[in-house]
Amino acid sequence: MLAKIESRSVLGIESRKVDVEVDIAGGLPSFTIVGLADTAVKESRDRVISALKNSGFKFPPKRITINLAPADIRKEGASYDLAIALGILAANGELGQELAEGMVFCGELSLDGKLRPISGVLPIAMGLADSGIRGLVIPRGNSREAGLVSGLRVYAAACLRETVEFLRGNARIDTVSAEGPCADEAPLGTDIDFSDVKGQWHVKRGLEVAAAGGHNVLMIGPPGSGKTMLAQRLITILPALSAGEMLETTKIHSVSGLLSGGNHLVSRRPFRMPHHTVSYAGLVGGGSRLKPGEISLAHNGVLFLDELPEFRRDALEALRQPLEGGEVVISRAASSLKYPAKFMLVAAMNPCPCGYFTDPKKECHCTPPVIQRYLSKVSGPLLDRIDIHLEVPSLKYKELSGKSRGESSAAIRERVDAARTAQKQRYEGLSIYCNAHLGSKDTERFCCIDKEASELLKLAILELGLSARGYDKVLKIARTIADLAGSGTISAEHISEAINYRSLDRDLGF
Amino acid sequence: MRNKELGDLGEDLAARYLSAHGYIILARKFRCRSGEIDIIALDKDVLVFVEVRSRSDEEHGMPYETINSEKRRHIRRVALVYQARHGLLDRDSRFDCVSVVFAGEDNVKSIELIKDAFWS
Repeated sequence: MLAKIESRSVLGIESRKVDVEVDIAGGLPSFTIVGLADTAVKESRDRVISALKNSGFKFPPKRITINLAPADIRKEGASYDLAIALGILAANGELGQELAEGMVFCGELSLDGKLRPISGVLPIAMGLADSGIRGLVIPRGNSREAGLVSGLRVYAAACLRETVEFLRGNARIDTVSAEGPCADEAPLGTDIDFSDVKGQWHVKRGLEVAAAGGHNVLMIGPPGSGKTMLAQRLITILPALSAGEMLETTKIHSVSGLLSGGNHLVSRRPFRMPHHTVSYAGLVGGGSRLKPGEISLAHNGVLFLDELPEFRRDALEALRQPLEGGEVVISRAASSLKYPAKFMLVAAMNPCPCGYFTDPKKECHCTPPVIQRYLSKVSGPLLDRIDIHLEVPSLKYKELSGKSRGESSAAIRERVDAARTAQKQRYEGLSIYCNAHLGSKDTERFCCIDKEASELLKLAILELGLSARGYDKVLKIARTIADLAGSGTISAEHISEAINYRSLDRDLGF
Repeated sequence: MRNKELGDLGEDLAARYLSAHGYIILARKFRCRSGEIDIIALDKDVLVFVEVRSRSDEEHGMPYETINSEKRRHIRRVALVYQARHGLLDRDSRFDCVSVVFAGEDNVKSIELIKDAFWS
């Protein structure tokens, strides 16, 4: 007999329909799975056999053929177990085929018939919302994740037996109530706060500007000056995620299998800090089983690259396109996938291999060619995409021992929020949402400067050796500074602060 | 007792054991180019191909442990030949295994029937 059960597969961060067709015929007993299935899917045969037997069902010693249609997309993972098991029961006449009509089943079976949580439930549920299906059955462990979506009935089942009895009408499974995404009750960053960092007023202000305008940042300074600590606290001053952003970021984490336990929603901006040995595929995504990389996991958040020149060159160069477009396209012979990757890049590096080139006290041992080689590892095109350069000096004793605490993150975030609101109003109707994304034409249109300011800018270009490339950047940063100050026009003081953030354009003496 | 005699004796015992358990024996020592199947029987409606394994003692492991993947492949092929010759290709089928353990001459220690022993 033939039976058909509907399931879903996840491609990128979208879900696709997969029909699990089961045919049971007489003959020598065998169990074959066809339809471009990977090892984990082929192994589902042994899981399904045991799960059926241990749930009290008879397993037919017949010739069983399973087809996962359409046959041209790769099927990965164990999430088809439930659909396969139900298909076998239906084809064997133990479960009426019509009972499963219009329902979608996803779940991994354990040998005792329990349903184990799977990855990618959120994209599956979002893809099915308002599609008119009767319901989606998922493992109970995924119920909170699926509860983020409204517009469909989700049933969270504990085991195979429960699912079957539910379909037969003998048992009840309550539908998962849609909660929708809501931010954590706990205030942002209770554990870390900007006031933890002593001194470094200039850097803190720089990061505030970066957060307000969505600018990418590069921090240069000797070891131990607090670059990492500052970067980690950047997410505490970024505006809170909107509901849509939360869902998008959670989707990526769901596909990567990073949602587990009580953590079913990414409600804070992610902070990703890959080690500098990260591979190309680890950073931008890909690999033999296509997975989102660090840049996608940092979607709507911060990607922090510590020791920037130590990263593999090809990995860094691959960042260029996502930095521009906000998404990454991974093309393989068989398929091409798109992952969103809209992140703020924060990079940190030492000024030279020994680290003490700019330190006033410690002597630097590096020769100029060595320093040159070190700095040249970071390519021009990548630097071009980084608006703000911050020098992080090592702390003086007085600042270290001082009792004075800086501003709290909450206070800074208030100003950032205000600046972001101003930008949103200004760019309404455009695809731009913050100053960092202004093109050169937009810069001309939106960054009007007064006479005094243009004089200063002219002086900077002539005297300080500010490059043409730097000109646009200065204007954009100045726009953000003006937004922070609540000013509609850009004045000289905004320009002069902005020039400070372009230290790599000026000759530092490197 | 030589190995062949031991095996034949084991098969006889297995056939009797199966009959006693309601199997209808269709063929013994079915042979073709691919190999041999010890017993072919009907258990209700299901066609059963039985492999009999005999051992003179248990010291070297249980008899059924000796059916490796190659033996299974042989049995499977012969089973297909039998089905084809008798027009039974669509018939529900199964592979069973009977293991017979002796303890000295003519002294049977245990007979064990393993239903649905393996899958093709």
